[in-house]
Amino acid sequence: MMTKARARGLIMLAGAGLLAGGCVTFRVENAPAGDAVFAGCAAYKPAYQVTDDFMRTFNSKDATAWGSTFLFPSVRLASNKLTVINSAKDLESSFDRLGAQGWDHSAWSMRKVVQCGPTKAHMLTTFVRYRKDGTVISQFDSLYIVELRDGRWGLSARSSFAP
Amino acid sequence: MGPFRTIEFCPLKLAVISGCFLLAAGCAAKADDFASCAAKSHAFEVTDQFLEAFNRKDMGALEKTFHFPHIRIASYPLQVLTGPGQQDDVFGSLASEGWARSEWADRKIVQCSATKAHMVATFERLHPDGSVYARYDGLYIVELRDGFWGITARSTFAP
Repeated sequence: MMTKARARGLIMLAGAGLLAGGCVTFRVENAPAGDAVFAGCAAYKPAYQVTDDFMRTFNSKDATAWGSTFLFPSVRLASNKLTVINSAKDLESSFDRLGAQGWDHSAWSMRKVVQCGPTKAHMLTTFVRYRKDGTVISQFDSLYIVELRDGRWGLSARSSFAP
Repeated sequence: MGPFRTIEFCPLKLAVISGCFLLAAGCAAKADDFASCAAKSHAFEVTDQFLEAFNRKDMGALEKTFHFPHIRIASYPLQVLTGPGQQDDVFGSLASEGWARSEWADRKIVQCSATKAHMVATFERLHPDGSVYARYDGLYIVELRDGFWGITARSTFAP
């Protein structure tokens, strides 16, 4: 039977070992950073779902699929220009424009809900553009407005700091 | 991205990083408030002008704080105002609530650059006796365009 003193000694030894450079690996669920206060808000999960679908369909380079994540009219504010997108057809030119820069796909590097209600969320994001070989082309902050309209959650507006 | 990720817990590294973090905490706090970002002071100035004009019920002055096209996301579909004089009768609607004026309860820059700021805000509506009867969150996009700083888009949680 282990005495209290021996147990204490083992704990101290383990602690010293860890401090001396040992590492413990944990497996944890991905959690959005810093917006847990909104986890109970109705628009919170839809905001993540819509932006997941947005990125997945964007990377598929299928304007119709990508357009299904929008609420039309949708607004894009980027490059010091305001564009009103009225249908999926208006999205088609995006892929050629980005392709000319060597773009292959994009990914979120950060998403955070900052304001949230029953039918709307304001989400801050950072997205990264990649080449086919996985190297980074560019990275920009942006803002997404996700709303519930006519029974469907979608993207009403986005504003980025892309030049 | 899968539903799980792995993290490594290294106490010694953690202690060193924590120490560095504590030493840098003052600087980090300053960096987070975008103090050196060009658009920050303009965003506060424009939204001050916006609310002053709003409280004077001066639609002309209010619209001078806008870029056109100007986007208002409150009801569906979103409104695209292409020029002055296209807004709903907002003051008539507010009068029916017993509104006298509005105030910012909070404003914070959350993303910022040399020519654009994203500001999250909370505004309050007050009765003539100064009592607050409603409080809503809102988002304001302020940009430098055509040589002036103005509000390009706003999205609020007001009904």
